[in-house]
Amino acid sequence: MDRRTLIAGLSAAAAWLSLSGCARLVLTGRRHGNGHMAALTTPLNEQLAELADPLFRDYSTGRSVNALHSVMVHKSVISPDHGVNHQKVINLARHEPLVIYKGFYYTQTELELYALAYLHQDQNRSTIPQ
Amino acid sequence: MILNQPKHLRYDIIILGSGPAGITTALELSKDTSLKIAVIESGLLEPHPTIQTLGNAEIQGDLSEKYFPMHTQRCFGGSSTVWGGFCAVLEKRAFTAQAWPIPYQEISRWYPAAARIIELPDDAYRKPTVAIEGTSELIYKPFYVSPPVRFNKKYHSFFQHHPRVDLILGSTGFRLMTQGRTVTALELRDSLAPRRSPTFVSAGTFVLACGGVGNPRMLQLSDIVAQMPVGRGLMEHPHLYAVAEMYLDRDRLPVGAVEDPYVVHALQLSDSYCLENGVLSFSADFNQRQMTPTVLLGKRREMLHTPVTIRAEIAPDLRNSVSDSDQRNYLGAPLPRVDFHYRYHDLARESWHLLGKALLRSGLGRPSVLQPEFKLHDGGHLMGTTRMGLSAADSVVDSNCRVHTTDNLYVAGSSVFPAGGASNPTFTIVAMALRLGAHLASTSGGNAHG
Repeated sequence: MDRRTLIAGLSAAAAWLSLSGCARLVLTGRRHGNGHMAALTTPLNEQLAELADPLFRDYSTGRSVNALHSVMVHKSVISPDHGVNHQKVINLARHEPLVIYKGFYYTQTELELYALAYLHQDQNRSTIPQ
Repeated sequence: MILNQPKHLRYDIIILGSGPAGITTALELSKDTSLKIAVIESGLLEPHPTIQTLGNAEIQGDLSEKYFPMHTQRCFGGSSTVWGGFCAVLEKRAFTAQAWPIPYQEISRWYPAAARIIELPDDAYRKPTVAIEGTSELIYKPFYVSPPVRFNKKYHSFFQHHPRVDLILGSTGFRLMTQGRTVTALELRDSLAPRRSPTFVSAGTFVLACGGVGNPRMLQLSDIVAQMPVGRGLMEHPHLYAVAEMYLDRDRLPVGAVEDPYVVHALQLSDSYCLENGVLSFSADFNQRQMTPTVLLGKRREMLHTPVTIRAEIAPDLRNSVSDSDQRNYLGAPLPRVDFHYRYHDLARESWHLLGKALLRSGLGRPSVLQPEFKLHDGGHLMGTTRMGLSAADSVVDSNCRVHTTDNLYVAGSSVFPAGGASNPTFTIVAMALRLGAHLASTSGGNAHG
């Protein structure tokens, strides 16, 4: 396969992935259980990883990833395909009551999102053999 | 000329007090070449320990023991000899709410000249506030720092050489003599010779510029009170130092990249927001020293992390007052008794909550809660004790700062403020004194600038 054919093929694949809303393949460099597979991640995964912070461990205690994920999807704050809807977070912030957490004001949705991010990362970490 | 007793028995205008208000009024009046003016000061060129005690007061309430005579300086230059130099224009909120009986422009037109006197940059009046994109609830308000100008240093030469303006030192105004609605003379006592016979000096017009305690005291001691609320409604600016924290999106703040040592940054609830929510003006100072990564509205970013100092407006409360004490000073006059309670804790929490809500909802930043316990500090800003208003029933001076019940007695200084805003008062005191000077010059038929 020459270089031009390879580039054309990759472009077509990228367009298909984009249009179909499929998850994007990202090589994370982390080695999984079998030592050969690259991790499958999405924009949402990346954003949650970026938001994950031990500060929100206490808030996440007693909550489950699945439940928080459902709440966030229901509020249209996240979608597996498009990641975090920041405009939605901002819009919700205009109407939600403020919640005090560790001495600072948050919106309810923010705290749920950050708890989800923390638990999500925690879960990923625990599935990676050390 | 600088004298230790009046050169004339009669002046066109006598100004009692040589702080920023008194000196500025004299500066403006001196442009009228027909006027003979005396500025009379209780103290000397430098603070004298005995005379300073004339600034003492009996305190009841929240003001600290050191408040007097720290903020009632008895020397040439008055409070300008000790001030920190923080300046900002007054908020428009109280004017829109008609707490002031004059339009805001009546003061703002004098800010440029006032800025020159206290050596502020043009932005202090050209860009006193800046809107923040994405929110109408908050504004950015810089506080500018004067060098600070010491009026006694800056204007010593003016008084020393001026042929028509006499600065008379070491003479304490004891009381005003009246005949009907006219003030006819001022009784003076030698500040360092209490047994010496009083002297009397007369004038066509008298201006009290003795500060937020001295002004009402002179009216009370002169029995110029009638039904007016003389001495009542004393206001201060509560200062809450490092009482909270904020994360701020620096990119959305209209601040320069380089820290200016002569600017203190602040966020304020906008005037329209205050009016809609029925709260008073409220200012939250921040600095730009520390950037730190944090999360805000679903994004992680580098943000300013800053302690917050609050400076706020309190409403005039008639229970806060200046009146007679049982104690007397060494000249034999009753000391002022100052009753003052901030009664501000609940309003501080409410106002901070509103500011925090506006901050977070606009995506501009994240506030912390206020510390559960906090101490209110004084600003040294005594306001409202001879408040401006439309009638003698609820105020002491009219819109030209003339005492309602007299024809020729005026008041300069922040004691005329019917609402004090959340800004340090000196800039407005100087602007108002220029306005008063121009008014007096125009009514005397002179040619001062208006």
